[in-house]
Amino acid sequence: MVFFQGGAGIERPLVAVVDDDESVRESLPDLLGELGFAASAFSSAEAFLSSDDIGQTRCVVLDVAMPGMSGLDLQRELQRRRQKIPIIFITAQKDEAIRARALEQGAVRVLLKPFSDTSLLEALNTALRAG
Amino acid sequence: MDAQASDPAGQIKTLQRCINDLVSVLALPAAWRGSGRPQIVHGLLDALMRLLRLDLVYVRLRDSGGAAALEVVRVAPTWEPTPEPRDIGEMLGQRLGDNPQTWPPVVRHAFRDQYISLVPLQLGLHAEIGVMLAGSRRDDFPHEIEKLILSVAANQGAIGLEEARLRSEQRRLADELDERVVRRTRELAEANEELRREIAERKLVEEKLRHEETELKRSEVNKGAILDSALDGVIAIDHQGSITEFNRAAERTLGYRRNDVVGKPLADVVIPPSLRGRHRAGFARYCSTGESRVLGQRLEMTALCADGREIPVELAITRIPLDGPPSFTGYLRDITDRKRNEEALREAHMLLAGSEERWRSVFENSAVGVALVDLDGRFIGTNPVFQKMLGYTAEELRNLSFLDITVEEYREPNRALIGELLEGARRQFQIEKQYRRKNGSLVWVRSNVSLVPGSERVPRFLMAIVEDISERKEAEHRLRAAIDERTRLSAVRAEIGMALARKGSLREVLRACAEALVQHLDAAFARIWTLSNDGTELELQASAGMYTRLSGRYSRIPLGQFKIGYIAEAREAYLSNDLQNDPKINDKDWARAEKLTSFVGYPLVVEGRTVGVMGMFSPKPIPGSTVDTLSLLCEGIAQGIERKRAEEELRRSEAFLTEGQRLSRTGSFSWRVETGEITWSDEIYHIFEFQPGVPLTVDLIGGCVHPDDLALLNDTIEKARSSAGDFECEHRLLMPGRSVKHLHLVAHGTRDEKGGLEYIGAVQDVTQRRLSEEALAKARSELANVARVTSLGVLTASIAHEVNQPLSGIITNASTCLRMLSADPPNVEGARETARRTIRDGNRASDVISRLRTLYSKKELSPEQMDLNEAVREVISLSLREFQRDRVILRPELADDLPSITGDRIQLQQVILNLLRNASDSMRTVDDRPRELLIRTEPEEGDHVRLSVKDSGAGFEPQAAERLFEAFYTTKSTGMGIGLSVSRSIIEAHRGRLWAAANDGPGATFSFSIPCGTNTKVQ
Repeated sequence: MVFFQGGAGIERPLVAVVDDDESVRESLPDLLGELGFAASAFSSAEAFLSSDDIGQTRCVVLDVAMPGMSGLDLQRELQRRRQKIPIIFITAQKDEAIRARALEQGAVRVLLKPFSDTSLLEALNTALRAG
Repeated sequence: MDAQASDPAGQIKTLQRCINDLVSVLALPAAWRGSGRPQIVHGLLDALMRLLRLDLVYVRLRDSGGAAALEVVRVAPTWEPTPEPRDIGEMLGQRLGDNPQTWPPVVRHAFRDQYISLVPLQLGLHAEIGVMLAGSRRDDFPHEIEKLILSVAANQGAIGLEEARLRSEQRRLADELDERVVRRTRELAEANEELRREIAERKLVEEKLRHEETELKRSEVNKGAILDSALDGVIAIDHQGSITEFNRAAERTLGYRRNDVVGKPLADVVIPPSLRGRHRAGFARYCSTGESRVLGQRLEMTALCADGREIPVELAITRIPLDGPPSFTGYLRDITDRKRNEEALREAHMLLAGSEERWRSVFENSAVGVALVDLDGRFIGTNPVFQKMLGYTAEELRNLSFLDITVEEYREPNRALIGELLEGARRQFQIEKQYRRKNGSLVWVRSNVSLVPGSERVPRFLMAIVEDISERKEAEHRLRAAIDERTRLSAVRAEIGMALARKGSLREVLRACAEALVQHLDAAFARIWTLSNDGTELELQASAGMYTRLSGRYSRIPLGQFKIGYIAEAREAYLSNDLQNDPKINDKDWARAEKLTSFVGYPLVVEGRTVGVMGMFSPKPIPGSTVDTLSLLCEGIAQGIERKRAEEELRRSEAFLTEGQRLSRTGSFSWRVETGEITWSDEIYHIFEFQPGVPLTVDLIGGCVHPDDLALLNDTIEKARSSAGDFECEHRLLMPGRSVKHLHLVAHGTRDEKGGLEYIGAVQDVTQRRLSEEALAKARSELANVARVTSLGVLTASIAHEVNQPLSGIITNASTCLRMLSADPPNVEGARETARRTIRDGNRASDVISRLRTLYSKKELSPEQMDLNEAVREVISLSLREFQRDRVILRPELADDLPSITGDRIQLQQVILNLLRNASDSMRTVDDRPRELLIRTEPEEGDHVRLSVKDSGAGFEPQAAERLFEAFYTTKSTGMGIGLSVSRSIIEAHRGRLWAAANDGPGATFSFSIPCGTNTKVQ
């Protein structure tokens, strides 16, 4: 079940992709576009925080391990700023401790790379519904 | 006597014969006792001809002390024509000169075309007795034993001849003295006889006088006739002194005519004027007092003759016993002749007295004892020498018989000889006997006894010239004892020498020594202990005689304990010839019960080290000569022990060597390069699987060498031939069963005194080692693999990240692509782009996987030319995620000018990864400072490169620095503790080293250094 199917004339919800891996920043916004979302990509947590788009961003697809601020650090920072943006974590590493911490801090989903387009869409729908 | 034999049995026989000959020669002087010089010379020459195979022996004696010069020669019967002593004497003078001191030890001389070797020898220290010459036509003459026998014989001959000379000299002096005494005694006796005759004559005259006087008194009537016929002159005077009668004899004697003097006073006529005053005074005194000094006396006085001469007369005056005035008759005799006789006699007496004086002087001052003994054997007179000899005074001796002081066993023979003397069967005799001195001691004397003929007044008596021959007897005794002792000691020395030389264990040898001591030295028992190797204890090795067991109280004696232990400790010999009174002897009761009186103990010392003790008990005192010999024997025994021990040690070490060679599969060899002569120890034969003793050639050996190694071995041998250096190589043998042996060969070149090159070396069968090294390498490689897999396991996160990242991209791109194609209208351009990205990510994933596969794979690794910096970068890229996660700040400092190295890339990367992981782990608990990690590469001196990993972590305790590299040592809560151990073995396989050092600040630095060269051990 899809609540928001992207289409012309309808304002697409903005999804931010934060990942230090360039291939992710390249491929994921394209997929999000195909799924009917608007996407912006940032190579680090710091870049995202300093962007003007935070206020319009409806969901953040966030990498866990990055140089500098980690995904979890960014999650805590957004909470501290009372920015209630739903977060979907993506990680190449299966780490239950991190996963538990992320969910505890209010993450919508923790997706293990590589993930399918349907599981991403399902997570986005849940996030937008919550947001 | 044969020349020295070369085999041991022959040598022993030769030695025995030599000893026998020596003993024979040494005993010669004993056989010569009492012989003259000619007999001695003949005896000596006969003995030498008998003992040695000589063709000629010659002796020339100088004339000395009345003994004439003498020249004697003995010639072998096979030598014709026999040379005369004179020929040899002349030859001696011509060939050798007059000074024996300059003679050579041997001369060759041709006698009538026959060559003979001559050994000239001196008799006496400076040939003062004479010279001796021994010769043989044999070429081997004289060998050492013959020289020895000849020099001993010359020495013994000189002793015998000197003794003979002294003896004859002594005899001559004694005879001379005897003769002088007899002559003097006879002279004395003759003088006495004369005296006696004279006295008898005078007595006769007196008798006659007395008789005449009586006659006169008896017959006055016949007075005139008697007067006239009287032989003596008769002069009568009246009481006034006037002459009343003057007979014819008086007229004859005095020359007066009777008629001229009758009536005249006697004092005016016959009395010489010098006596007239005394006559008148005496006559007047008689007339007034009746006292007379002359009446009835026989007076000698002088009378005045008519011609004025005064003559000596004997005068006897009697008073004619008639009544009335007294008248006197004087009987007068001319005693001029008698006086003359008396004078002569007095002179004779004086002469006699002088001679007696001289004789007495000889008697008193004689160097020999003189005793005059009556026929009952009582001493009449003795001289001081005799008295001193016996310790009696002259008075004490006068109360003794010579038999009283003669020792019992000589009394009967002595008495018999005196009997013969008295019967006239002999003029004199000589006896050697012993006297007992006053103090009870004995003295040896030689007594020369002669019978001195007596006279009527002097009875016959015996005169003994007594000489103290104690010293000579003692010397004889000592000589005999010394010869006996020497013979005995030679025997024991020979026996001990043989015992020490023979084969057998130390115990057997020492038992033979102890038995020889007991047998030849009259010991009750003899024992030999040896000092234990640690020097604390003496171990009884041999016991002979009364006790032969080796167990019991004295079988092991601590150093310093008991007499034996004391001797060993103090290194001093101990002799006791009176065990019962020796405070240092403990077992006195035992010694008494066993009738042992003496003990001698000797330390057995070699080069200042005590090796044992010899102890010997004897039932009789041990003489000094034995003690002296024992010291020599003990020296021999000590050396024997040392030699035996050294032999046993050698045997043991040889056995050890053989065993060691067998166990270590190492054989030794020698190779003489010039001759090609090769000797192998048994073990090399074993290694090559040759029959021991087969002749060794280079070809034979080469046939066993593995064909692949033949060139290497030949090359090595060629080099060895041309240079004398040491060499070392490893090669293989291909054995008949196609099995392979690995040999390690080491040789050391030496040059012998002639410059010949010889190699001494060792060959070790290292097959087992090679096999185990291969097994070890394999095991190490497997372990390294395990460690690698373990390390990679730790990298799961990174690996997952590395793999999942591109996979994630692939799936995302693929999904996008599908969606773009499913759109209406399909977004073909977008699909193409995403498909392109999909391929890119697929390649990326493939790279990651192939790199991981290399790390995980277990293929045989080999060294390759590589760039260490590149290897480091690859490891860093694999580990980067980990460092990011652990907040480790990595600072690579990789040298630009780092030379390339030869090594096993994967193994070295494993080491680098391990070091980085450890460094990262050590900083996990660090929160108060940056978690800095420095990795640095740099070139090092000596063609090495160094890699260091410096952390700022917890560091390690200094004492743990080496343990870090032990397998299964770990400071981490997780981990097996094999990482550093495997790392070190990898680095060592690259001939490098890996070490850890604490930093000045926090943390530690781990470094390795490896050579750039190709020489890795990695297989």
